[in-house]
Amino acid sequence: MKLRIKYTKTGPLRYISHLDVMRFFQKAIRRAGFDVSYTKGFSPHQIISFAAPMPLGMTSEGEYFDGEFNTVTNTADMVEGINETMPPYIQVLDIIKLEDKAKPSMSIVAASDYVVYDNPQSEVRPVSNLISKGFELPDELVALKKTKSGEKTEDIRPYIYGLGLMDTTSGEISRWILKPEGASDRVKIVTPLEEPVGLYMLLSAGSINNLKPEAVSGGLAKLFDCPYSAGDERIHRLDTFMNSDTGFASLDKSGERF
Amino acid sequence: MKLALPDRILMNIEKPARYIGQEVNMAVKDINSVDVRVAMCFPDVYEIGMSYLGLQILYDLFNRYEDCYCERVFSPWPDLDKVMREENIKLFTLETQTPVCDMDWLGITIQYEMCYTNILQVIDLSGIPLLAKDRKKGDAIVIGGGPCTVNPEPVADFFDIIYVGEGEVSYRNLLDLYKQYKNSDMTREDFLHEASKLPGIYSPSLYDVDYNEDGTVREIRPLREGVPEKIVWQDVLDFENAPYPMKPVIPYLKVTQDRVGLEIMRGCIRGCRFCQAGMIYRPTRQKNVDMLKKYAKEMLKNTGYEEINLSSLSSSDYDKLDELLTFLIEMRDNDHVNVSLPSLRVDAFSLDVMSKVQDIKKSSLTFACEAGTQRLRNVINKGLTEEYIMEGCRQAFVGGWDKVKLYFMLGLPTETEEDMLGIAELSQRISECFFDNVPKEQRNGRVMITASASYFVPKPFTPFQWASMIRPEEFTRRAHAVKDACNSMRNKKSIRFIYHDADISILEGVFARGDRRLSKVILRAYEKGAIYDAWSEFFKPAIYDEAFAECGIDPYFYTERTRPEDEVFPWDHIDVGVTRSFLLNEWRLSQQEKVTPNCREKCSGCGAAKYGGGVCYEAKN
Repeated sequence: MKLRIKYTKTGPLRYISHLDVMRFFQKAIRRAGFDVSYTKGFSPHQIISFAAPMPLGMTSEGEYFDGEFNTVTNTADMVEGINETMPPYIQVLDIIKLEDKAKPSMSIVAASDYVVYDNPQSEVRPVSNLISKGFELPDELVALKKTKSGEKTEDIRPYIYGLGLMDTTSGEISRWILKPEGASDRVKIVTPLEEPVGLYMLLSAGSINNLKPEAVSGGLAKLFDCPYSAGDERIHRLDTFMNSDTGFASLDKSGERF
Repeated sequence: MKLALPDRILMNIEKPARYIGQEVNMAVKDINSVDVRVAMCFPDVYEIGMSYLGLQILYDLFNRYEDCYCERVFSPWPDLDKVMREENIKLFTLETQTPVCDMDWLGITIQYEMCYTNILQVIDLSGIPLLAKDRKKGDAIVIGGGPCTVNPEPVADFFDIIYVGEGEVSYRNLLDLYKQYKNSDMTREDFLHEASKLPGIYSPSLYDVDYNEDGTVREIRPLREGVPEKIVWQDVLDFENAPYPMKPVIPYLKVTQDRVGLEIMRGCIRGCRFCQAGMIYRPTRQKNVDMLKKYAKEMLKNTGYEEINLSSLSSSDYDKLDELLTFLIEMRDNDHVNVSLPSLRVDAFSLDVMSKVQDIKKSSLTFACEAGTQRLRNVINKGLTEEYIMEGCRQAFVGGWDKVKLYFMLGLPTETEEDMLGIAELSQRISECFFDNVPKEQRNGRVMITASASYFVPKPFTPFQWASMIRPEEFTRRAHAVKDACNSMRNKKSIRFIYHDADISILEGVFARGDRRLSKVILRAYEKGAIYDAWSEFFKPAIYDEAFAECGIDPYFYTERTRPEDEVFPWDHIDVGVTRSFLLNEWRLSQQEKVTPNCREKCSGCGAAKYGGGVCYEAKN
């Protein structure tokens, strides 16, 4: 039986690497007593796979992994069971059942949305500066992109699907700079952040055109002449999306609770 | 949780997860509801310290006390060390990210001699005066524990208290005394004085050392009334019921021992004459096998680990090992739990077990031969015969193994050219055993024998505490001689010989049998930038050459002399149970190439029976 598990990673655990998170869940699944499936062979391992790797330093409330289980109870029971064995900074939000032929989460990721906000530990406040300058999104936004053969410049504008000013407590978008089609004016956010306002971004993600939020804020800061370095801002991922008939849909909509 | 380090530092150092704590099973307490706050330190990097079972045992023990909160601290890696010095950031605990200088105690486990400069690093970065004599009431009490405390003299100046023995015994009494001191106008000196009357508690400042003209120790004597002349190593007698951590802290990072550690036995019956652990942890004590099965199940459930490791000095001597392993292997088949095997005696049973838990094609057999000839193995009382090694290899080769690891030491007392060549010859005979017993069509490539040699370091409280340690140049010469011999063997393509770095071992030899005057050298080396000396990529021998020269101390004084039988040792005021007369007799027997039977075969009256438990009384129960 295939399940998709949505989880958070917040607070101090932003310094845990993606690899360590994978090892963490292998143990958490066993502590919770879940009947996870193992591969056959001499050194069997759990059949689980993660969606998008998260860079060190970023927090999130929209991470996913898929797992195969021999037997399951129900969503509420399993969410509670695993959360009891985990620190408050990494918690499961939801578990849904997938169809047997469902594609792995890592292959269907199409976009992610984020809040980018000023690092409260930093005196330079690039996000506030941008907002006070009443910035707009240009037709072309050039950013440096690291490739295997060095650095090249690239227009990242096509990969920006949404941009706005966001109240980080209520999730309300007070001003859209680029409103995604059919988007609500209020975004769901459950994690308290240390700054009242931030930049909301909906960006292309996944294995093909993965746009990093710092490329957008960095590019804008440069264009609007605001002092900027990556350490002056913090990034919080809100959710991860796949393509659907009606536009982007959260990965937690790829199945049903049980 | 507010972290002690800002984002800009954490984002620019290696593995920031070393410094954030918040692991599963970490102790969480209200700091306002406890009387004593303890920072427990393993003075090496997080991944090493978190792999150490003793730290988990003591952490659990302290946190079982309601009036105490024990937090962890490790050595910052050199990248962070540099930043902390530049920015004047104080070292902090992982749990609550509190500066160590705000704690009541800083407890440091001293596991190996090469961590001595890291001890200074931790005290210094904590903002605590480096020398015990400069500390005042209100400064944290710096306490040392662990195996190196059997000769704590080289680090004596840095510690207020040295706890001699197994941690499970005396800390409750020390906590109570500390509470009295903290809540009254008792002076620091009086606290140390009172503490020194507790079993196993040594306060170096309360003893004075006199030296002879030749530099050896004349006398070590207590300075105040009531301070005992001898500090007795503490042994847990009710080992079976001693507290054990059912919920060990689970690191996020991949640490060296990333599995459940289950201690099945403490001490060793064998009595190898070079081995300090085999002497100081006497008498051998075992845990009940049914209890261990229960522990294994519970710890695997509480941690989620998929692997369990049995811990002891010599697992084959655990009397119910077959039963325990059979149980764990059943668990493996049902619950996907892997068993990581300690070095076992190689016989039909252990080969059967190994074939179930390891991939034969990838794993290798290990023999700790220690010496190349039977004569020298008798000198060191290593009860391992060539017949046994050959039979074990034969069975293993027939069973499908084709890799063998052999461990040796070079520089053992009485070692001759013949003993050195013996390493190559033994390797050759093992390779022949393979070709004689495995038909061509069953061979999967060639057999590979890896012989490795470490540099023998004489340790206190072993029969070899009187012995000379060879110079590094001589070690290197001998290692080359063995290497040449291996290369001249007929099956040289199947034999690989590797040897350890000599510079670090010689310093280990100096500190192991050193005296109090070495505190100066260690302090000087630290001031010149020495830290992480146990790590060859950071160890700088030149710093120590300078430090010894500037302090006017000849390091070879401590390593090269064969000590007279009646010499007063710097550690003579420590009593580990095993008596000096037993050790001396063993030293003499070694020179006669005579072996001593193990504790179960025949009691040799080593002195450990005075603790009143363990193997000494097994037959009588």
